[in-house]
Amino acid sequence: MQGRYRWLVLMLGLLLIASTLGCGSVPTAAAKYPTGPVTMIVPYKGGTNEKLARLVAPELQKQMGVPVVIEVIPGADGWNRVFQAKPDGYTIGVGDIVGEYGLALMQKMPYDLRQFTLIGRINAGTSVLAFGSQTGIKTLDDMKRVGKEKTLRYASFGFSAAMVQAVLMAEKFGIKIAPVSFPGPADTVLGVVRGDADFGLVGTWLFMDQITAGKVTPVLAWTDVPEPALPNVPDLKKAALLDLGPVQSHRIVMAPPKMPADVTNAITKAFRDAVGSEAMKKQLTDTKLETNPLWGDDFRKEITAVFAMMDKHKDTLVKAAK
Amino acid sequence: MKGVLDLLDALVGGLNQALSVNSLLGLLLGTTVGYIFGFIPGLQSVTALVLMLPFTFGWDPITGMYVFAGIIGAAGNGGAVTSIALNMPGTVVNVATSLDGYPLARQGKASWALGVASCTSLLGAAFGLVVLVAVIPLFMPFLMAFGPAERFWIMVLGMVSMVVALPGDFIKSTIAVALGIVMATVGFGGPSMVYPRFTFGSIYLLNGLDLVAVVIGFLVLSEAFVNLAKYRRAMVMNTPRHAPLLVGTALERWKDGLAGMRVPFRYPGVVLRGSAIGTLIGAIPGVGGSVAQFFAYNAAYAVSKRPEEFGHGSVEGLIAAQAAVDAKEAGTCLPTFAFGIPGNSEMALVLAAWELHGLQPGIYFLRDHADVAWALILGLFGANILATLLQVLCLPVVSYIPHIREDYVAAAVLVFSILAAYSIRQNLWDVGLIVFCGVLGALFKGYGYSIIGIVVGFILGDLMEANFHTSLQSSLGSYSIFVSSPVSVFLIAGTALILLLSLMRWIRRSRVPANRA
Repeated sequence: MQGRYRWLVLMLGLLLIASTLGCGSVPTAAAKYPTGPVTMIVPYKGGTNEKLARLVAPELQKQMGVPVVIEVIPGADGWNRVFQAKPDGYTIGVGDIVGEYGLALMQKMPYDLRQFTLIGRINAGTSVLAFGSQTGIKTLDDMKRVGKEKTLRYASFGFSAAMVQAVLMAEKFGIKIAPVSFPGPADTVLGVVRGDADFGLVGTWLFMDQITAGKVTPVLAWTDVPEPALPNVPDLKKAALLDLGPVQSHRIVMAPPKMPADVTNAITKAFRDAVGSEAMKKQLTDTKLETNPLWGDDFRKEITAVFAMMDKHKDTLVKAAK
Repeated sequence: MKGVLDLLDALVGGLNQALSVNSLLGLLLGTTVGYIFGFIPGLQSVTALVLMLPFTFGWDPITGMYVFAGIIGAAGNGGAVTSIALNMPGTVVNVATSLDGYPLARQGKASWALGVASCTSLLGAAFGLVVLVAVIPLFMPFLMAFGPAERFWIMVLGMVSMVVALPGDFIKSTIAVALGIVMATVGFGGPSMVYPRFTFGSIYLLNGLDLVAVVIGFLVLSEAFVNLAKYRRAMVMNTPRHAPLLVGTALERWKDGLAGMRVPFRYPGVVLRGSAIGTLIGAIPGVGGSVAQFFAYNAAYAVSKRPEEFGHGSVEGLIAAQAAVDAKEAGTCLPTFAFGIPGNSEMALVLAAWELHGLQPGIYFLRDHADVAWALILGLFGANILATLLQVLCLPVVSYIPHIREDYVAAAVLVFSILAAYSIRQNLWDVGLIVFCGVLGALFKGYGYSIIGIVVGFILGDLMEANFHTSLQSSLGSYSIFVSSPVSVFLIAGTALILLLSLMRWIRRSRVPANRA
């Protein structure tokens, strides 16, 4: 009797595991895409990419008429899942491609970011460069002057778009900078306020409270036009850095390589309509996210230009990260 | 004076809001879910929060906060049950609870120990709430005092404290911690986290070993494997099971539990000290509960008149650890409110929930979103009250858990652990990892090495390295940063003192054989 119970428990357990692992139906022959659930992989846990994916998913579901399931699979594993998936449109990803490309310059990765099918950009993060008040640096000219005399410490969080921005800007101005690594954007703000780093480049809203409190001084808004929240802060045009404008945190939608054109177009249309809807624009504004999507060939042209710029400055970027 | 009046005004507003139907229902849901997820080894409060996160999008932020607060506040209570009853901490912050809780359960005092733990949790949460409300306006100078160098020393102090707190051979404990640190180096690391280490070309290892998988494997699965082996040996050798004593009827055990709830009041110093340490450590961003419990445990050991009982069923050890577990939750709210820096992984998800609703954390968060902040603060305390009530009601049942046959427990634990591991990132390698850690942990236990040491070494090793590199980068390579602030010097002195105490303890112990891992 005891032996039977033991086997029963074991069999029930195995059945439970098998049913869980076997979950997730795979669409069979697709007459017209989509006919089944679409999985959206986010290779970042927490943060803006996951937030964006969760905001977009319900609208996308309405456009596509099928469930859109979000799977958070952090890091290289997440990017690789998208890369290795069948190019049938049922597995796509949302991520920050600039930071990931920078990492790929440092280390050989199992996937080639240039081979992904690039659908478009949901938005690109605007950021502000701000110095801690204890540095005494209040303008771009101050930064250039001091940066030529001594090494300025910039708060970074891994190999991100912000790091690429800081390094390329420093190269262009001929100033010396060195990274100070923090776990995330909020930690970089604290680091700058505390004086662990001299400046940081993070999303505008992350710095706003500290700017208002006088703890940090913004010297550059990384936008092509003046930042509405900081009208007196120079933008890229005034700083003569317009050519670096495309280097931003592009939160893109990507799909496995060699996806058929009709599926690519269907996904692009669905995202364009979802992100462009009034409801979505309102949500993005309410959650203090940028509304600057870019789709199709315009987007691919911009990203290709960013990749080319980063390739050109590969040695500088690699040296800066070390 | 105006600041105090504003605070009282906000508190009254928060209390009014807490008594609304939606808030109470949200709290009840969160508490129930949090208790269950904390109770079942392998599931964690973070898993519950991740599952709930998409739902909060459709709720108003206040209700969402009460659900989250319920989960966070109750998980420690649920985790204490399996920590005490099965020596399988339900959450990583309940690890120290098992050091003395489980020996008490083996002595037939499971119900009593659970009563002690429940009441201590509530007292710890109450302390944390009072400190949180009192300290919020004053928190910024404290936050500013702890930079990367200070956090590095906190980790070192935590590591040393933990080695001291662990029962068993000092050298073996140190080796276990060192192994945990080595495991933490797998994946991207180095000064800007761009160097892959020990990945052997594997994509899976590029992101390092997953924390949840390592914790479940070492703390939970290893115990299940050991128990299975013991049961199997008893069957083969035809020897009686050495099950914990089952004392009394259900009603008597329930009364035992209620008697246990009065015990913490006889140790006010231990409760206050454990709670203070928990709140303080919780308030330092990036340090977390796994350090707080060992600091508190070690502090209780250092001043106890009966130190020889620690690790063998000391009620002071149990109270100190459990007080820190719940007090630290209030502490973690401080950097979360002040700077949007999560005090631990649970707060990271709270932040994610706020951001989904467009709420930006920062120094004006309490002013601009007081209702949401109070929902979290009061919800944490309310969850502890509800969880304690739930625990009291379930005492006769949960006190029976140590007597369930080991093979039944092991089967259930194995299933839940595998499900939890797969749910991390839907990767079968994570399942393989927890089984590997489980087997390795079982072997380590057999040879007297502390698997708690491995786990805490793994958690703290990563953080320690990150803060070390950040400190050196901040000082542009100068090591003087590690001794340049009064806080760092104080922490170094504390570490040296604890090392001295640990050496003396090791000398004392080397005269008496240790037989518990």
